[in-house]
Amino acid sequence: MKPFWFNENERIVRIIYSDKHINPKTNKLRSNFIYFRLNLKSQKYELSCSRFEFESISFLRSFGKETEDSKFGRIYYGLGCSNIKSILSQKNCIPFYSPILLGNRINLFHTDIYDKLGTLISGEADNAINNHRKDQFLGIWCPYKDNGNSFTKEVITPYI
Amino acid sequence: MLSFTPPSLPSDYQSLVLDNNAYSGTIGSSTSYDPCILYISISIFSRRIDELFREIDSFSSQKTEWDGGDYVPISNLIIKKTKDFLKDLNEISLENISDLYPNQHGTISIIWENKNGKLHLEIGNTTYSLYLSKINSEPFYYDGKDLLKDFEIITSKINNLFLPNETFLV
Repeated sequence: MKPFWFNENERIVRIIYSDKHINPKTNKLRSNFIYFRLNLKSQKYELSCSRFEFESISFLRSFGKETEDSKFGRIYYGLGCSNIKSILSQKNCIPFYSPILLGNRINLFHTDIYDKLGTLISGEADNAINNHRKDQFLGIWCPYKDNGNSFTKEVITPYI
Repeated sequence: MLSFTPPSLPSDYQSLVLDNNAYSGTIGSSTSYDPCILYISISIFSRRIDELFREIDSFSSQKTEWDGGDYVPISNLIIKKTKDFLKDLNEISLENISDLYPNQHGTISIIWENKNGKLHLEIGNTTYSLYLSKINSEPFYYDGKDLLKDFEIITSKINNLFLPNETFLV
């Protein structure tokens, strides 16, 4: 599967929820920000993201706020940003353009990142090598807090 | 001469510290302990434990589902295992915990991180995993089943990250 429809400098973003995904004291992303969920239909481990060059901040913000649940510490924080080049540099991770065209939350620029080595079992620890790999993958994501007017497309950039 | 008498403390707090040679970290190699320093040390230690335990208790409210996602609740067994592990840690290991959080697939991660590297411990119902990644060293990987039985292995790796000389706490 070759991601021929992406530009390598294209930015990919994923919604960050506080305090689940980010340490409120250090503002560092937690490894649970990278959660490759098993899609039972496709039988693939997927990380849900969006193509930032095509998607508006207001859409992502409203999506983040709609899915908040303050009772469980799931508060919209902002966006984590990476790019296609960095994602492809990680072994076993492949971006796949997967627009959501049906249902309550249509997302035209939805993208999944497939993890070819996914092995998660509910309630059990992932193996040590996988955790190290996921933490390295986490390192290519840069967190940005949505603080209103200054939260613009120009300031949201991946690590270079 | 001024004298200081520490107020009485719950006996389990004292034994927690004594069991783990935590004096070594705060008082050095001296065998006579200043009661004032000892009291401060025990207070900080117990406060940190309380803080971590409160955080862990909050994980038990993790929902089964969020907006269609399959978030698995943290089991009572994992909560108990994590607490049992933490309360046996020495002061240095406890104070240097960088982060502690639940994972969506129903486990708990504990992170130790400094300029030398990172140690990630993930605790599940019947398994745990640990990796230690240090600058200029090959990563260490370990997948185990009994967290408390392997306590010494894990703490030696934590010490390895924070102490230049592992024999410091022996």
